[in-house]
Amino acid sequence: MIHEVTARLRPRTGWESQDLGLAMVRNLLPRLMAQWLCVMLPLWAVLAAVLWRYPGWLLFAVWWLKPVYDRIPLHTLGRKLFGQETSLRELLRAAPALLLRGNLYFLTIGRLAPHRAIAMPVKFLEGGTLSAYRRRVRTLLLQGDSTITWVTLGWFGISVLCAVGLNMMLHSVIIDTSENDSRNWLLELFTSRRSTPWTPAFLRYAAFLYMVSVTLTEMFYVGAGFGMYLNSRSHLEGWDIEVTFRGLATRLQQQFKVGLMVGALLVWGLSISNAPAALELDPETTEERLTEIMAQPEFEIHSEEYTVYDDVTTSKPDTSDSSWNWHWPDGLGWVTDVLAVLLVVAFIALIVWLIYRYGHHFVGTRETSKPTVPESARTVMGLEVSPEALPADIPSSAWAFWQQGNIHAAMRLLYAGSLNWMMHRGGLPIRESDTEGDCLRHATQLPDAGQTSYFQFLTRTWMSHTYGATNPATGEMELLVQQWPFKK
Amino acid sequence: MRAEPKLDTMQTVEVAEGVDIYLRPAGPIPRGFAYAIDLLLRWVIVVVVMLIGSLGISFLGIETGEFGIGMFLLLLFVIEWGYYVICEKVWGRTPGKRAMGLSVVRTSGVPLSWPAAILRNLLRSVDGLPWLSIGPQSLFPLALVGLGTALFTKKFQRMGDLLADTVVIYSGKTVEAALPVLNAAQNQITPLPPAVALSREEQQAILLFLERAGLWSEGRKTELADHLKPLTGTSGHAGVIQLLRMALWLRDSAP
Repeated sequence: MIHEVTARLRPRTGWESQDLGLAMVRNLLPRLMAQWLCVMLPLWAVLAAVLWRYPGWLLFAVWWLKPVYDRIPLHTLGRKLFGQETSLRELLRAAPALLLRGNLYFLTIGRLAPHRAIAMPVKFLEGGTLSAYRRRVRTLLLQGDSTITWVTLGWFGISVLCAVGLNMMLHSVIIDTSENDSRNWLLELFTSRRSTPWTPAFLRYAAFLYMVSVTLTEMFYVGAGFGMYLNSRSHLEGWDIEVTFRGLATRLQQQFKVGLMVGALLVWGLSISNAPAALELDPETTEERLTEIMAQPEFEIHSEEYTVYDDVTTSKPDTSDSSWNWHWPDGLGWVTDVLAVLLVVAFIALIVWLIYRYGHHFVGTRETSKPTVPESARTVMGLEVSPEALPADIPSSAWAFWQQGNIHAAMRLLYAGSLNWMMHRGGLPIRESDTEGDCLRHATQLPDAGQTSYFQFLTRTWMSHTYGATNPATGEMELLVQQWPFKK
Repeated sequence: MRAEPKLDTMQTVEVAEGVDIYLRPAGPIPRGFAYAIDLLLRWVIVVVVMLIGSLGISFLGIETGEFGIGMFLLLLFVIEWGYYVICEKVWGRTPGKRAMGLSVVRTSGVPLSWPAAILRNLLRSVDGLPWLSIGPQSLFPLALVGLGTALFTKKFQRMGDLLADTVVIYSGKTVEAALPVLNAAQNQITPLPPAVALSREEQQAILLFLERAGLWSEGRKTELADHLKPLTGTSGHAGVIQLLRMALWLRDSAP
């Protein structure tokens, strides 16, 4: 669910965006650290055992393999952004794939790229072919390419300083307190004070220090790159806007659906007495309904992992989580296309059949009925405007709401009531899809000029109430109630 | 549906009733580079002053002896401790911070007082820990204490910032101000009120669409506008136009 992102997306400067990444890591640090240790300790143990006799290579390998380590925090961060928690068990299950697959590019050509921290999310969270990936990275780097170089340099510097600092602390705490060198196991294992640097023992010691230092710093570097990646997408693709738009669309569709459901119930004559309840359909209720509906098992988010791995040199995306499904794996492209077309055709056929079979029940509730029947619209702009949904005496009910302090219900009732009158008594062709502006235009055709000007005033008040969050003054409300021109 | 607030580095400070200012605290990396720039600058100052001083002294032919060494140490002391305090008190930023687009303020957003400027810079000796000795009498801060504290506080404050109640912020422009705005008059778009009530955040998003539409390809604009099919009632290019009309209405004519 893209609109459930857990960080505030807005365009930032490059530096600010890497700070957001740091904040994300800080929030998740205990979990990230636990996951890191569970995967990295065994890996490094194996590495140290294999390369024990070649300590220079050991140090080099610990440094060179950093892109592999980065996969672990990146996996958790990417999922967290969309509100999915990654438990330790889940991560351990995913770890072999993370460590072994798809890393060839970043361990060879891409290892020294200064923008690696931005490029890795592109490759592993979006997938795509190698050329598509290169194009994407180029596009994303238009924003903040020099900053990422400085960030990479900065974090590399910090990891080195951290190792040096650890060395100083170990020397002062452990080594210097020991009078007799031979008693000190750490010294025995790693180093010897009398030896010159670059002895095998010193290199092993340095590799060990670097492991600790990478453990402490690397996930912040990954987070910084991830934050910059998100920022680039916000800039270049309006990702922050997309997130809000999707949320808004979901809200509107849900309102529309609830409206339809209520309308259908009313037509079936099951709940005349529930009509006021239908009128009370304020955003909170809708939100609750939405939460309820979304909690049902049908809406559960299922995710599966697909692995397409046909060639090592052009290693394809190895994971395709449901939350990242902008790109399907290439090889399956046509299959999904055909499936999608079939599904759409089947869906349309089903709808047509349903309308043909049960259409008569819904006459008047949807636009598929003849548009020449103006009474058809039961909701306009999400407002319930059918006669059954409204009380007989609209101005006095509205006044009652006003006195209870329910300003929104009062305004809503007045506006919906006037729309209802204009549609059913005034015979104006107001449709479900009409806007306030359209309704105003229709209202100019009313025979009584007083009604038109009343409706203009009402619309202004209503819109400044709903859009501007400005409540009408008591005098205005009194005027609206007393002057109500839409009598039977 | 959203139980936890969204993560953001921006901090809101209420300076008066209903008046908020936004501080954008800066993390350790840009500050580290600012430190490096300041360090180089101080070395340059020391070297230049010493050169001028010794040249002048040898020109005048004065035997300075211990007095010269004393002056040199005094100079080092003033530059080491005065540089930051004076720059940050007087201009709110050192040259290094200026180069990185940073400045220092109290957490309430007001400029530093003398005690705050002195306190936050005295504590550099703690934040700089552990100190690495390079060469005789010369120390370089590994600054792990400062780094660790900054990473784990919400406003990226090191020890000195915490005690002096200060914060280092980005003082440059926000990004929005720098973006080109789509010229509505040129495209002959008329405002259109949206059909449904929109929350502040949603209105903001539609306005941002207008502001940044000039940056995107036609395909991307269409893609974004298509998400709002329930609002605009159309898709494709017509949807983009419809959305831009609503944005114009929100910008210019909304009550």
